[in-house]
Amino acid sequence: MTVQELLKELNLSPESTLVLRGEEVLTEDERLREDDEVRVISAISGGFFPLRG
Amino acid sequence: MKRCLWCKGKPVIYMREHRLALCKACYPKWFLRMTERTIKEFRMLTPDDRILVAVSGGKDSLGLWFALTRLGYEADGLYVDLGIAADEYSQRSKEFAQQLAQRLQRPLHILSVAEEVGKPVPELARASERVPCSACGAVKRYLFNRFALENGYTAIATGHNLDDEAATLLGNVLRWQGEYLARQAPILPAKDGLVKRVKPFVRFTEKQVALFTILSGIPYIEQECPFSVGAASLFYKDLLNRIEERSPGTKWAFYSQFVHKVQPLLAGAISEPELRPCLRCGMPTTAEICVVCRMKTAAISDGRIATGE
Repeated sequence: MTVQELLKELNLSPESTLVLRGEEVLTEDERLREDDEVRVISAISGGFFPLRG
Repeated sequence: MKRCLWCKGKPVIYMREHRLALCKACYPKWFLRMTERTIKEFRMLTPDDRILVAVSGGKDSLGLWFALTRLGYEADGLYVDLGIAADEYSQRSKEFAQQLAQRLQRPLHILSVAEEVGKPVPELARASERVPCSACGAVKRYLFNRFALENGYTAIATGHNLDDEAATLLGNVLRWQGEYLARQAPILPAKDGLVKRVKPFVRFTEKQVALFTILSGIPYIEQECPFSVGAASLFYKDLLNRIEERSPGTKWAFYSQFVHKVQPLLAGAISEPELRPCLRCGMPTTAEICVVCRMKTAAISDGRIATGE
């Protein structure tokens, strides 16, 4: 399975998600091995939405 | 598999909107170069500016403080302790800010909302009958500006990124908030007691900023503010990212074309409300008493009710 397929399965957007294997940051076309442990980081933060500049 | 365009190494990111793959050594160089280019393009900062970075402990503000320092700007940090006790959110955020201050060997100033305004943000919001995000935003803007004025800083830099700005723009457009749109710019020059505000990261997506911060070895608070659950901004960001997936470059086009073509027209057509000094604290406001002084009053009377005075 590729990182792209993993994100699709998790219903996460590749536009806002980083996938790390250990210290290594993976691109979407990286193939994952079955025993890989990965960390999925959502880069999206919300909160204050002032409707202004 | 794609290779780093600059050195042919193994890439850590492929940016479809730029058709650019970069490795972990080249990406931070590209990022700093783009930051400098954005600062120059919008004439955000001069070498003489004394910069105060609004530091929250998150990826954007810590990444910004680090980037500005690496680019040779003299930038100090201001952390505003919101007093959010849930999950030790404020305490942990502050510790991340302090860690970076130590690494950069730059001063980190700390102000506490409870000390400055009378109550921490969650209670302040309740006492003044505001939603927490609204109370929090008003207090932060006030404290950053007042602190900068009182301590001779000439620019306040915030870590707002492209996703923040595009989501805010979408929200303002959906409601045709003319006054807000007229003021949505990557730089707001100093005027009438307001210190210049700049957003040097407007060119980057949240993912790009997160990657820079991580590759720079900066630990940051990954947890969301407990009050942000269900925030409209998250929904708008998600919508924009779905468009971006289908059509790379749309977020930047949406924002940058607005900034270059539409915002100047609106700014010329819509007169800004006049600012005058608050009768109590002297900080600029459009009312007689500024919103933070009004919140202070609400906090005091709420305290009286709570203690039965």
